Amino acid sequence: MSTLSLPGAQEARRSGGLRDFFVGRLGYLLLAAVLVILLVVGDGSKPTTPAQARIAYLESIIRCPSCADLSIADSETTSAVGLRSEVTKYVNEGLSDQVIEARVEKEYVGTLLIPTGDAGVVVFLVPALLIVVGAIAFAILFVRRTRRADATDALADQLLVDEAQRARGSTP
Amino acid sequence: MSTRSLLRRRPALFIATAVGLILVVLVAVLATRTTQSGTVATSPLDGQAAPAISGVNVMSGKHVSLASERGHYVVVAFFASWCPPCVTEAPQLVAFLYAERAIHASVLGVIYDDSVGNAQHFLRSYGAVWPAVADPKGDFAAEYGVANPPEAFVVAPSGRIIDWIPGGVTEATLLQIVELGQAA
Amino acid sequence: MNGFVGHVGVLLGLLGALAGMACIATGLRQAKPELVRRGITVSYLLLGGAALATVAMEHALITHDFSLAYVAENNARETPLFFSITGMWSALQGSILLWGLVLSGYLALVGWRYRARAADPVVAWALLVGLGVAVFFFALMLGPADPFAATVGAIPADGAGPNALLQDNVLVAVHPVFLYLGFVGFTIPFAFAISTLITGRVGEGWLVETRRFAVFSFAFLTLGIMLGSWWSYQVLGWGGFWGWDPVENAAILPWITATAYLHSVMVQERRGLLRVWNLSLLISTFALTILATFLTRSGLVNSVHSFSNSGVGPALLALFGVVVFGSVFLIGWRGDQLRSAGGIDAAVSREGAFLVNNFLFGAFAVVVLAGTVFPLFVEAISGNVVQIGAPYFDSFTVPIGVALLFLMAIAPALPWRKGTPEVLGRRLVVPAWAGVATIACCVAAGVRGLTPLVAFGLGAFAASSAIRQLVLAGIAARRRGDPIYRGLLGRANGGMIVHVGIVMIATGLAAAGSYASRDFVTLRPGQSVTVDGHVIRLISVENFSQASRYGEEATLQIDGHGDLQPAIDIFRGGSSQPVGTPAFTSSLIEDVYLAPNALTATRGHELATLQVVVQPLVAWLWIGGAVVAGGAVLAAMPGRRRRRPTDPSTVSYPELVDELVEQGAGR
Repeated sequence: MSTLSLPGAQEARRSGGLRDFFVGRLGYLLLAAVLVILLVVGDGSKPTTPAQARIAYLESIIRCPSCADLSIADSETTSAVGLRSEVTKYVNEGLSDQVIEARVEKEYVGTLLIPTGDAGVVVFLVPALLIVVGAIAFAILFVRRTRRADATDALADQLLVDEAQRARGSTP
Repeated sequence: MSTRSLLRRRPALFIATAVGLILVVLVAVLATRTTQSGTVATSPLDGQAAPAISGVNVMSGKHVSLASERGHYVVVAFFASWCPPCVTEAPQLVAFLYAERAIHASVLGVIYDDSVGNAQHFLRSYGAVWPAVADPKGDFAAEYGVANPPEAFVVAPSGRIIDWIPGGVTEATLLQIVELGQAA
Repeated sequence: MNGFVGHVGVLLGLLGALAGMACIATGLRQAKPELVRRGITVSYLLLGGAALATVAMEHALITHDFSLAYVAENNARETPLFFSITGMWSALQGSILLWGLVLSGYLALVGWRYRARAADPVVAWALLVGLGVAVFFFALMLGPADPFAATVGAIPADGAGPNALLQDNVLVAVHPVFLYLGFVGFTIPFAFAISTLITGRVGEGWLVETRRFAVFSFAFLTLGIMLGSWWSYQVLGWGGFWGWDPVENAAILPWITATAYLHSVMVQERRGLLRVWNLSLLISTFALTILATFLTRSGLVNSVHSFSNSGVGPALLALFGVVVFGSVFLIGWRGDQLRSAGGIDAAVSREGAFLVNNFLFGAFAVVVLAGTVFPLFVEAISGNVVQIGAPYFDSFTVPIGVALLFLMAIAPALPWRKGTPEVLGRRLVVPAWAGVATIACCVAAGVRGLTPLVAFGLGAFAASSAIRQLVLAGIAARRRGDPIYRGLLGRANGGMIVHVGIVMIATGLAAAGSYASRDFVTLRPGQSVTVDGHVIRLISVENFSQASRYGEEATLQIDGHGDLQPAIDIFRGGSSQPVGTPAFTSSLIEDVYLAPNALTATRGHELATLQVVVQPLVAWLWIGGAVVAGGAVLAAMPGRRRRRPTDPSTVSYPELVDELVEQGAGR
């Protein structure tokens, strides 16, 4: 494609104050500002009533009966969903946390969740570490290759110019 | 040639070696895992008198116990509604019961780490026709050394445990065990 | 009789492959192209043998020939014809037969397509590697995974029937087939990758030539995965479509590396760079398909797919080991010789974006692989049993997904070699504001939640960027005098359509994941309950009985229309366990999904307990998947005549000669 048909070139030919504003630095600053405002407004999680906070807490400490380490807050299996609606029912009936915990424990054995042990943390750490180390190595190699390419290009150009001059010098 | 210049000049070799080492570990781990199949395994309880189990049958409300089944082959099946191999196992137990109805073989279920309601629903929807007792504190499970349902124990008419089958029984395995037991 | 014919077919295939390999190897060693060509002809026996075995198996299934153990275990007299046919791949041995059939088809295609270039060692080595893989699978069928093994003992009067979940839904006919078309298809680019490593001729466009195989395999694999997900949704009864099940993860791993490859190979085409990356990605894709088969069939991981334990585990692991260690050795030996002299000039450039893309997809693959095999490692070290669930996967894949969406938006607008912020700013101003406008509309409509809003905004950004490219391509086509639809064909444009499909899928995932509501309801006939704004009314609960199944069925209405009939089915034939069949309504806005938990049909005591799941934008997932597959097919079609790459190291000599001749002829 010739340079003239590149979209960038066409846009450059068109002049218009409004367009120049939007594609320029100020325009993008405006975009960023609007975006931040929207996201702040949009992030408003539903205001939690004390009851909802209690439900969220209980759901996070009660283990899902059919899973090995997930709480009923995190699992979508039938047993977890069922237990979540039971917990919601108990909270709405006005039972205290201790009573609810005792009830759940009576029906199921060893259901209360103990904070994750060592295995739980490791599974998150290993890939996270790999990714961070990989990213750093990546960035370093990238920067180094780019710089080296510039140097090689300059050198290669110089050689071409020298050869061209020599060739011109040799033609009659 | 220093390691650093080797890394710069032959990065592919470096990375290949590193990846190769990781893969060695991965393949080694994969190769040494055993599958969880429903085959007969040895248990410290083999040959011992089966620990007592008794309680209210959650299906009928009547009282049942392992002791009352003395004189017949009993499969003590620890199960839960949430474990997929328990689902696969249920029809195999049904088939076994039907095949051995002449000798009045029976199954005694023990609910492992599950609610009574779920277990009832499980048994009903898979056509299971045997009694099951609840084990709320896990006492029966502890006595039998059960950690991972489904686990089944075949109890001979004498009241001794003759086989332990973790991972899910098949009708064929049970039939074979009964045959061997009768021949002995 | 069926067993005999089947065994003959498998043996024929195996011998054909071995003989073909011998001919080709000899032809290579003695530099005799005609021997290689003969080897190709002999290897057509592979396809013949596989076809014969397939016909024998299907015949046995359709005629309910229970003298074959496989038929006795997976088929019954009551099984309908359709599910008898699909029964071929419903268990291990048959699925290996399917693998063998697809592989022999692909190999025959490659042999036929490249028969004119039999003199080239690259072709010969590639065929050798491909045939070697075929030998492995056919040998499996004569040994541990014999589909035609005879029934032990007396021939039963009726078989056990297929697993209930496999005769529940017609998708059983397409999901495994497309999945295998995708998986097995990657054997071909892999064979060529190994071949170019062995011969040392990476810089001649072979990888680019086999790109079409990779694109079609990618399309099939995408379809296979999406169909599997759709099937899960329709059948499994928890309203979900992706559970990070180990077998699901195993299937998506090759998809991830294949996607990275399809992008990265563009850099190799244009600039001759990233050769070792591309080789590694291709090899990883194939190795991961073998790992996927191993994990699915070895019984090591507990999964909804664990239908069978079998003895093929060690063999598949051995193949995996040979593939990865052989490839690692080859890359370590040859890799550095094959790296190109040039480099990436600037970080902000199309090449730079593709390199970052490789990294992100690589991270994605590492995360999924680590999560899948981690329980095995923990069990090896400490003996504990752990389960890695959604929290782990979500915490990594959501940020990676967001980064990929951003990259998807800016990369098509980035120039090659060197881009500047000004150029990017000019090109992306409309897409960027489209993204912001989308977030504004969502917020105005009451949608809350940071992650989904960011996902929607970035999705709109990426989709607008892709549409911008399509519009420009259409305008350019018209200016050239071509019809406008030419702007939709070809690699770059098809790729943009794929991007739009991916955005649809990402949007569906974000919406369904963040705004799903789940509840349990118990109803008597005539009662209704309101869940998430929908009125659900139970009409009746009845027993039903059909030719192939019987059970209890509930009839419900949602918001006054549509008869939904979730049921609990028991399949006739063999020892079949009850299976809950959900029912749901679907619209572009949301799906209302009813999963039966317990149904009582006793007269006078009818009761239905159901789980109700309401999820928005689920339909976008399936439509997006279709768009991705369609876009991939469009990408495989020839677009406008490509400007030949100016870097001579990526053009093969015959093509270079053609181009020079054309230039000389004054075109």
